[in-house]
Amino acid sequence: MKFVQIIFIALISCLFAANVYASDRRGLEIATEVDVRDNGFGDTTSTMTMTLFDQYGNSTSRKIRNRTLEGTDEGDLSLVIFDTPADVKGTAFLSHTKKSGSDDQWLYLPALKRVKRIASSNQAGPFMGSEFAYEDISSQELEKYTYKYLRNEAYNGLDCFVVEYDPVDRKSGYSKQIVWIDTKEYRSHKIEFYDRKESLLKTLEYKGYSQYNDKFWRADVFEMENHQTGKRTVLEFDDWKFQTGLTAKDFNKKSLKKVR
Amino acid sequence: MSSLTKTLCLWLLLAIQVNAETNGSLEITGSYYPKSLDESFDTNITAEAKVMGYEELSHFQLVYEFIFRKSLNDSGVDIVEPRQFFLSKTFGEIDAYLGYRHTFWGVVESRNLVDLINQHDMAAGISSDNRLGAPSISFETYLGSGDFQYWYIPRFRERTFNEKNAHPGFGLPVLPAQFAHTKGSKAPDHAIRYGNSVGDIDYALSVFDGTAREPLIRVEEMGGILPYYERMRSIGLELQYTGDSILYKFEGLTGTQSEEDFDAAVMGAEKTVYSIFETQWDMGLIIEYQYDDRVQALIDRTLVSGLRLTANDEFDTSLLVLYTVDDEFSQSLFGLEASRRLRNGMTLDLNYLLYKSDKQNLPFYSLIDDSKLSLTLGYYF
Repeated sequence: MKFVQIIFIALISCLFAANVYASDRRGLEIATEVDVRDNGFGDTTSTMTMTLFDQYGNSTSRKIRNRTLEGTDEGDLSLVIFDTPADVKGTAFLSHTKKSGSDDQWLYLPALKRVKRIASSNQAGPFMGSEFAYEDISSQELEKYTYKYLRNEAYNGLDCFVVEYDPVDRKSGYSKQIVWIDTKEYRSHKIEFYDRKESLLKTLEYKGYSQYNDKFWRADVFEMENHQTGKRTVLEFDDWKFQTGLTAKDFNKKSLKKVR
Repeated sequence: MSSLTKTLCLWLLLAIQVNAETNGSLEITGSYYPKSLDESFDTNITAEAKVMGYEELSHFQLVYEFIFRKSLNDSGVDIVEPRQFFLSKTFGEIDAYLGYRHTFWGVVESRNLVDLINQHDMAAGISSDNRLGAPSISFETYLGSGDFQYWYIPRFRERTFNEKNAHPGFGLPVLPAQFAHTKGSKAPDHAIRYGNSVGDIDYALSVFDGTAREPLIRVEEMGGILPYYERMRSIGLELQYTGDSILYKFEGLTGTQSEEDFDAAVMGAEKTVYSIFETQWDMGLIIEYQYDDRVQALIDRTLVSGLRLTANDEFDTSLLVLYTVDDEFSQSLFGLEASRRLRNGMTLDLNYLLYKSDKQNLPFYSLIDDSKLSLTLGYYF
């Protein structure tokens, strides 16, 4: 009888493991397809209005310009330039994303004409006092997570895959992210972020998708709500441009000093 | 008006404006000197306006940053300064600049020895953030993935000083400067620098041949302070290793000053602890050691320790405390800087400086009465 029990448990375990393996493989396939569908964008530029809402509904806005160059061997290169508030106008943030390990980051302080290399392990820290962490706005490389397919579910009338993204880096502020990806165009529509204590921390919703160059989808609005503080941050993107001719030389320390 | 300024103005008249942008700021600073001596003032108000911007001209780009500063009690602070007023043009891979420029060289926090291009506008404060524009012709280009710069500075700009009884003041008038070079302030400077990054290491090597930025201070029998500027040839090295949450930094300068060899270096580390006490605040711990065997150095060996707190909030609230002490722990400077945005485009800064010295013959003893508390309200547009 005991032998039968062992066989039974072993069979159950094998089936469970196979199921886990299948869900991991399915999750990776979906994330890979999301990545593949955005391959070849080359470079993009856009402008962004970031509006911060506190728990009482008071708001303050800032304007930012973004430039991104698609990475080849490593991750993407990105440059963020602050136009307002006026006291930080001209401040620029350069990031060389790595597929594994910490990104390389530099900050340009226009009043001092100084380029500072900064430590980048603070990926869980808030970006410009917003509800977005540095890791939320940095380039989403495939290698940064492991994946688990959970289920299919309708979201805003679209059939979606629901996939769990588990951060590889222990310095991430999240234990997991649950991502809703539509099955037709493989666009992210909602992300739930869970803190290290497995509690729901934030929800990000993407709104107003448009397609550029007949291939690349970009949302016009990102809305992030922090459930633990009641604060919200809304990013409104404008003026998306693709393949503008940017090169790696537009994303190095020297270029930071010439940013206009 | 210098010939360089005249040339720039002429070019501007000939140019056709295509695109332009202008910004500015106005800062009002109230200062209180609690240990001020009888012959000096114990409060002061300073106003500083800054107008900056750029214009895309038909063949060039014009960049400008003018500073207008006026003090109630210290005329040494008063200035109309073209910190930047230059034309730039790109020729293939080379960027060329003509006019007054401001740049920054260095990696450490407490004292940037290799930052030799711009003169220190010391009347505006001890912080080396206050700089005078360098009238220059300069070129920048890529060498591999690195940044190569060449600077020709045909005219030397003297360090600014406060009035004789201001804070700090020598108690005697500042006389016209003298120079080791027979051409005086018209002796040119040449400087080159190459900087690059390899993985986690950023480095730069520079060479400077020109007039030393820091003068020797001589007390003249006739009654006055005479700044004397030596000639200097030096090699500078900047190194920074960027770890996950720690930075290791080194800045070194070695060379000759009027035939005498000298060495100077600043080295240290900055460790950041993120999300202290499970809040959004970050805490940076800074430690740096300064060595300088030049005659004009106030202190040979100095230890600087500091704490930086950053709130990571929408107001950019931050606090920096630095404690500077000599290697015998007999003279020290405690400095505190706190800043916060009140609303978009309006900031409030608080600064506190406290000098201490055990002995009367030490340099910081004469600065004790310059200890101050100041509050700056800034409006940016």
